[in-house]
Formats: sequence, structure tokens, C-alpha cells
Amino acid sequence: VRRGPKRTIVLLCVGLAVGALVARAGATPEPTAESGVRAWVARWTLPRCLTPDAGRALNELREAGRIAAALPAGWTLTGGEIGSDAIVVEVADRDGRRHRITLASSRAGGPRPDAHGRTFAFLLGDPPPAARDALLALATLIDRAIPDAALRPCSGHDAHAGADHAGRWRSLLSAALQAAILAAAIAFGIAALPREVP
Amino acid sequence: VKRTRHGVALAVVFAAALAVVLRDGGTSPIAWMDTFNDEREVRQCLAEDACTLVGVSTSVPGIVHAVGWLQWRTALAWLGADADTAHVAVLILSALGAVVVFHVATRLGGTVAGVVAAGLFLDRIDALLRLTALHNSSALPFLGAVFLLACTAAVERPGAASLALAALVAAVIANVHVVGVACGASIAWVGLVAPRRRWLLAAFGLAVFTIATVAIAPGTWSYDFTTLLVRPAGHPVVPAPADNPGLVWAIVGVGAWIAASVVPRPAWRAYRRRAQGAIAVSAPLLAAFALAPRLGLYAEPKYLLHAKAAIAVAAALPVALLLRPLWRALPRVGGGLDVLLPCALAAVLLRPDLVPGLTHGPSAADDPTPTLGDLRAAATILHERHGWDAGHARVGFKTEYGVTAQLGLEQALAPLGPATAAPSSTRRDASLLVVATRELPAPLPPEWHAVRRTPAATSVLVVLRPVIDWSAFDVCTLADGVADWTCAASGTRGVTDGIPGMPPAGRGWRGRIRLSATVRPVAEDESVTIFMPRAALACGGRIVAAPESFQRDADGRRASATGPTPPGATSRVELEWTVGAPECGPLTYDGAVPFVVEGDGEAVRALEAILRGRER
Repeated sequence: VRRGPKRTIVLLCVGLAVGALVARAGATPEPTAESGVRAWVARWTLPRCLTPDAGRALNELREAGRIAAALPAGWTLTGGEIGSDAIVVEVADRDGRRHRITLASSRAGGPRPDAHGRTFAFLLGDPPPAARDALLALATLIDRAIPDAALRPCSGHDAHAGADHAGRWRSLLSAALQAAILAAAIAFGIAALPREVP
Repeated sequence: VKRTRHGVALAVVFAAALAVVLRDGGTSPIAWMDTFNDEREVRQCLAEDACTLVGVSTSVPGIVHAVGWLQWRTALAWLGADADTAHVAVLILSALGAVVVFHVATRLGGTVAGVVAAGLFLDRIDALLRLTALHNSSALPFLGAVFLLACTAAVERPGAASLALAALVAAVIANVHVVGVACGASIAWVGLVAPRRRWLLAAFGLAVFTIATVAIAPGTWSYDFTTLLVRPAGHPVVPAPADNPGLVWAIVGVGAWIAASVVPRPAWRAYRRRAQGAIAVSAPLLAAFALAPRLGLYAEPKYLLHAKAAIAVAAALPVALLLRPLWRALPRVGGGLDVLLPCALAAVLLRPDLVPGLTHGPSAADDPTPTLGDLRAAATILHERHGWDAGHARVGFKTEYGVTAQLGLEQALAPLGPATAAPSSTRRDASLLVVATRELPAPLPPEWHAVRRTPAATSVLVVLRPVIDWSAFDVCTLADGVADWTCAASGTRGVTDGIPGMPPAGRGWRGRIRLSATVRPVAEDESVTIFMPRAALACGGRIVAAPESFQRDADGRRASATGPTPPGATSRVELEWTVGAPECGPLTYDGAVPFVVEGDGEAVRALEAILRGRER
């Protein structure tokens, strides 16, 4: 029993030191997750979003003619869009039919990918079998051209876009459970307090 | 008999606490931005079946919280309770919090401790919490009292079940206000003071706390975790206020507990053991407050709210111990003192002015902000008599409370539906002020409506025929440190959120804003006035140029014209505000057109007299 307070004090000191380190990290103005433990944790725990470097890499690829070279004869690149966590590329085949491929960087949610590259998951939609290989080849080319440095952990807003709501019944059930917890704590607390008043 | 006496004492404390919180908090919450943001989330949850799992923003950029609170508000709304009912329910819970504090302290240290603790719990609660407002912090005093009870119970009956229950209460608090994460330290503390398997219990308690916290609002904690990893930004660094009554009593409580460790008497040893629950809640918060300024964080007094109950008990127990000889020397009137003392506390709480040296804190009647009840009454008048619907609020509702009041009126107008009354032939603006009843002109001028009246203050809705056409105007801004003005066309027509071209609010923008707009022609036998008020909550500006038919005062605060406007006369008025100047503090600028009083000469003169009287 005597060792209790000492241990408590030691633990409190350790806790305070850890808390101070965490709080200091939080108070540092505008640091980035470029290095250190925080960057390592972010790299492996957070969905990753595209930076402007991804757009530059894609432009270089197009200007060097490598996209045109990767497409079958008669196919053309008709459009492209870079979002926070996905690249969408549109091509037209020799008959003028349009095909879209999506390279998604985020691991959360969404339809099941058709294939995986080094960095991205490929979503091809439902192309005709003849076009599938060409689209996969283009997706692989883009996937290899985007450097790892062109992605960084998504900010809170990007990481939760579209996946941050639940139905009202979950909310009401949660409120009821919280009320039950408080009621139980009050009932147990009153019963557990000493009866002998000093 | 003893139990009956205690029951009577609890009833007395509850009645007194309820009277105090209702007196100081009122029965309708004030217009408060957090209240309106919460209300929007609640309506979205119930109407669109889309309930946030992320919560609402805190004052720390990128940190969100309060999903648990929003779930409570949603449940109350689902049961049919409006914001007024929710406000009163929270105040009743606060009064119950005082009862819990009294009960815990009485059981741990006797009646004197109970009375002192309940008094400390309710004393100066206004310094930590604006009781007239309804937001997530409003629930913290009650939740803190339950957490104190749960931690004390876990100390008295150590074990996995009692600690798990305390950890679950801590999880509820953490999802009402993010500051509740500090409760994790208290859970670890309570686990570590158990007589056996203390490390296991502490780890178990922390695990339960973490899992339950994340389970209630996974989005919140994922979001906050992301922010801390990717772009942590500290609090806006503001010097912590020196006046922090909670902190003083925390120092007393924790200091006495530490000092008692060197007192060899059994009574003090027993006190140290019994106070463990209260100390487990108070000490980590006290340590955090001591560290915060060194880390660039703002140790705002309100962050002690959830620990106020524990601090009150931690401070009351040693005081009662010191007073014990005196208490024992008092004549025992069949245990009547156990009831008399709470009655004396009730008398002091209700009439502190009767005790030398004590003063009354601000009551709800002293709050100069309109309530939600005021806004509902104003909305009904504007809807039925002037054909307003929710779309009018951002355009024609001009008060010193800025966007907050506009948002509140918009929410009050929304359930009334589209305008059914025929709109007036000429456009009408409206203003809402809370003024001292004695300052009101008697009788009230036409189109002045008293929507709430007490002997001390009256909320008055003033309907005015505007002079300036704010539907389209030019905005020019000159930020501090920038050489050239930037100008853009703007207007309030069709705006729902933010006015184009206006600098952002709340981001420390400093500089000059100049708005150039058109004034309407003044009819024959008509006089009009534009007045630039100075108010505590509003950004004050001046008229830098007026149409040639107007007479402008030298200080630029007033311009008047008498009709008719000569043919071909100029019609542009230029108004300027300097954000950051003494008359326009950065916190008073909210991104909208600042408060300008404009309308018929007589009505504006009456308003001007009231507003200038306040400046003195």
C-alpha cells in the first residue's frame, strides 16, 4: 500500500512528460508531416491525397508523348481530371467510344478495384474486353509515372469527405446509451459511497 | 431519521441550485453562434437522416468535437423539445450536479464539506460558463459531477466494473467537449490507486475509455488524429486571464492533499484516501493548466468546467477537516444542523447581497443579447406583417449582433414557411435591440414592437424603411501592410453564406473596408438619416462621402437629408470601417456589412439616442 503513492507520482511525471511532448507537437505553428515519427505514422495510417506534383508528372507524361505511344493506334486522350484522391483519365477508341479509367489513391470505401498498381487502385468501369488491356496498360503507365512524393496524407477534410454521417437511428441509439451510462454511474456511485459519514 | 434529514438537505440544495441557475441562465437561450450551428446539425440529422459523426469545429483549427452533445440535442428534438426546452433541461442537470457534489462531499467529509463543496461548485460558475447560452459546454458541470461520483465510487470499490463505468462516463464527456480527453489521465490515476493489480486496472480503464470514446464518434477522432499528424496548429495564443476561480480552488485542493501526506494523524490519512477520486480529476487538469502557457496553448478558464465538481470537493474536504473541531463544539439540536446548514447555503446563494463582501453575479436579465424567444417573436411579426421569409434575414436584419442574429432569425423564419402576407409596397428592414426599459421612448413609436419586457430590460424590434440599397454595392479593401486598394462588385442579393469581396472574419484580418452604395431618392415631406453606431459587439465605422443632398456631421457618424431629392443629384454614399481600430475590434467584424442604422429621420434619432447613451 505504501508504494502506491510513489508509483502514482512516477506515473504522473511520465504522463506529464509525454503529454508535454504531444502538446508541444500540437502547438508548433504550421509544421508539415515531412519527417519524423509523425510522418511515419501518417504514412501508414492515413489515406493519401494527391498534390500538385501529381498533375505536373501527368503533364510531363503527356507532353513527352508517352501516353499517345501507350495507346493503340487510332485511340486519343480526350480528357483528364485530378481530384484530391483520384486521377480520372478519359480516352476515345478508334470508333469514337469513350472509356474512363480511375486511379484511386485512397484505400477507404468505393467500388472494388479491377486491378492494383504500385500506388493506385485501378477502376476501369465496364469496358469491352478488347479495350480492357489497353486501359490497363495506360493505368499502369500513369501509376508508375506518379512519384511517391506526389502523395501525402490527406487533411482531415479530404480524408472524411462524404464518409462522415450516419443515420438518425444510430444517433438516437447512441444518445440513449450515453444516458444509460450516466444513470448507471449515478446509481452505482450513490450505492458505493461510504455510509459512515465522518 | 438521519436518511430523512439528508434527503431534506438534498432537496434544499436542489431547489436553491435550480433557482440560481434559472435566474442566471433564463428560460430561453441567447442568440449564440454555437447554438445555431448545433441546431442546423440537429435539423439535418432528423430531416435528412444525415447525422454528423465528425462534429463541429473548435477554436483550434482542424480540431472537431461534440458529436455526443449533438446526439443528445437530436434525441431531445426527436422527443419534441425545442432549444428553449433543451436549455432548461441542461440547467436542471446543472442543479442536479450541485446535488451530486453535495452528496459526494457529505459522504466523504460530512455536512460542512457538503455545504462548502456545493457552494464552491455554484460560486462564480459564470466566470467559466455563459449560463444564458446553450452549447456543448453547458452540459459539462453536470457531467463533471457524475464523473467525480464515478471516480470516487471506483476508489471506494476498486475493480474492473467500477473503473469501466468511470471510463464510460469519461468517454461521454470527451464526446461532448474535446477537453474531456483529459479524463483519460483521471481514469489511469483511479486505476493506479487500487490496492491490487493496479497497472492492469489502469491499462484496462484506459482501453475502455479509448474504445468507447472512438465508438461514439469515430469520425471526430479520426479527423482530429489526422489533423494532429498532418497539420497541427496550436490555439490562437491569447494571454490566459488572471481571474480563474476554478484554478485557485484546484490549487487549494491539490495543495492540501499533498501537504496532508506529512500529517501523521489518522483523520488526515483518511481524508487523503477519501479525496482520491476528486484529486484524480482535479490534479491532471491542474497540471495541464500549469503546462499550457509554456506550450503556446490558451488555458481558458472554461476548460476547467468538467473538473469544477471535483475541484469543489477537493477544496471542501480539507476545509471541513479544519473546521471539524468547531463543528463538534456546536450544540447538537437533534442533528438539525445537517438541514440548517444547507438552508443557510440556499439563502446565501439566492441573496448573496445580504452577506457582507459577497455580490451578485450577472443574471439572465442583465444579458444584453436577444434570446431565441425574442427572435421567434420578431420572426412572427416580420413574417405576418411584412411578408418576410427566411431569405430576408441575411439582407434586411441589421443588429449589433451581426451574422449571429441573422442566422438565428433565419432559423426562426424557416418553419413559418414562405411569406403568406402581401409584402409591403416598399422594402422594410428591421433591427432588434435589448435596451434598458427606462431608456425606451414612451409611448413606443410606430413600428417599434416590444417582443420581451421585464422591469429592467426590453427587447424591441424596430422596423425601418431603409435608405441605402445594399442589394448591390462596391467593396474596396486595404489590408494593413498592403499599398493598394482592392475593389470588387458585391451585394447582399441572394447571399446565403458570406458576402463576396468582404475580407474573411475570424482570421485576424486587419485593415480598412470601404463600401460604396446607392441611396434611394428622398420623397417630399420625408427626412432620412444614416447613423454609424459604436457598440461593444459591433464594428464601428464612419461616413466618408455622402450624396450632395445630405448633410454630414464633421465626425462622419451621421448624415441626414430632407426631401425631395433634387433632380440629377448624386446618390452614392461611402462608408468606411477600420478593422483593428478601437471602435472596431477584430472580434466584432464578422464578414458581413457592419451595423448601420438607416431610415426615417425620427425613428433613427430615437435609436441613435439609445445607442449613444450606451457609448457613455
